[in-house]
Amino acid sequence: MADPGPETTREHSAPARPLIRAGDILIVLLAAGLVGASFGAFWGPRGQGEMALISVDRQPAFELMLDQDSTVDIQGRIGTSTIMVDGGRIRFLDSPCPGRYCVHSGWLQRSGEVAACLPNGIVVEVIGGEREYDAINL
Amino acid sequence: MRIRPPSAVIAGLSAALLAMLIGGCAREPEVGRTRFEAMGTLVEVTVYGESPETTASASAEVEALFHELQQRWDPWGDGELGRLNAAAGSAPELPVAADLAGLFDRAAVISRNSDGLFDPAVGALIRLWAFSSEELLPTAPPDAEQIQQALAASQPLYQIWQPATRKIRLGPGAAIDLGGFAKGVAVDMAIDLLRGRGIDHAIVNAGGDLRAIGRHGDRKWRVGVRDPRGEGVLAAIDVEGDESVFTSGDYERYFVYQGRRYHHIIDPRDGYPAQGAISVTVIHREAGVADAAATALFVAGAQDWPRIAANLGISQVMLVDSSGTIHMTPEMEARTWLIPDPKPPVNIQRLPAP
Repeated sequence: MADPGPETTREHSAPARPLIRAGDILIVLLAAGLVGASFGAFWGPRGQGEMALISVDRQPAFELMLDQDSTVDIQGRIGTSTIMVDGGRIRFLDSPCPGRYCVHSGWLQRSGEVAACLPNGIVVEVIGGEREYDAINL
Repeated sequence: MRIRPPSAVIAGLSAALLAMLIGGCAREPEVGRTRFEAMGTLVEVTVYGESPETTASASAEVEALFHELQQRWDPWGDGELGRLNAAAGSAPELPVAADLAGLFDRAAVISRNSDGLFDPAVGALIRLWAFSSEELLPTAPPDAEQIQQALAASQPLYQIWQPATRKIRLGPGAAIDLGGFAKGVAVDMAIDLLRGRGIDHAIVNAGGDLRAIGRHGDRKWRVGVRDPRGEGVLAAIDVEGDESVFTSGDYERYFVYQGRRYHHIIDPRDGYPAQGAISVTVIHREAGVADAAATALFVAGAQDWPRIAANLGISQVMLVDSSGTIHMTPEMEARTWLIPDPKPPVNIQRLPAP
């Protein structure tokens, strides 16, 4: 058999390199991150809001994270409104207004959804995440 | 020989791709939103592609407009309509100011074409139910005798309004209430105002009823129609150019008395909340017409709505009946994307010839 030649010889005789190097790990991590991000962006729940902005008398008052269940009492113009966060959703649980339209509004969870107790001057708006609708018709 | 691309190149490409993905998602479109309270509801003005200063100043003008119209068209206030109602019965015929007369002209046509199912002349009846005032909202339905008296005192608008002389025959105890029309007209006027300020891409959304012009950049405006019984959105509709989307439903303004739900859309024929539907969505160019049509078709109910829609010239209608079945015209069905899974039952209904 002919001499394999200097090239082959050199490959066999080169010092051993590690199978996986730091750069490869970086690539794998980046790729995994990319897949994860793509999955979230394309297949995740669309329009899900991340938090709710509570305004009192037209002024932003505070934010509630929708991933933390809570019940909050808020003092408004005519009394106390109770707002509940449960399982990523938020709603007026009780309010001192006679009509209780705010309570009838039910659960909000999509970014951009709004419920208001106008007599009490309290507005709840879901914000964050991807806003799926420019307006909600109701 | 195996070719191994340099790790640094792959890492760089991956990072660039990731940055593009994240950057693409995070880049916020140029949308400005302002919100205010008027006509008993929240009004939201959304503007695309204008400077924050332009959006803010135009929205402030829209807010001032809504407050002015609210004062002028309050049936029981001290504006034009309040003064007219206060004068009811004082003379056989009452003169009507020019601005209000223009509204009456348009409302009377819709009143006639809907067989009186939309009727602003039942103001006394609406006051009795008191849905328009949160402070007065009843916890029980009005007395049956009072309802009959209010009905007896009123005649449909198209019978008492005289366009030629600009006079109205408003007898003792009768009153005009433009609810179900005024909000839509205010939205129309707000859109005209925005256009006059050079704004071509906007939504004026008054408590969930809206008119949209232009588009949201490289896509149409997307409107979600609230599910009248479930949670969230029943249908997604893309709008562009110049269209109004109005929904009348029984699910927000209501009270429960002895286990029965009494909502705010009153049937002018018997004086009680209309029973034939739980929500009606109408798409039409003008918001005022869409507003009145949604009210009339809600009252018409699941059986009679196609005839009334044809008479009103409304081709895009979606009605949800009390069983949850969705009735749609083919024109509405073609552009409506139903969200619930499984899909609710759907009945496609062609309109008869008017």
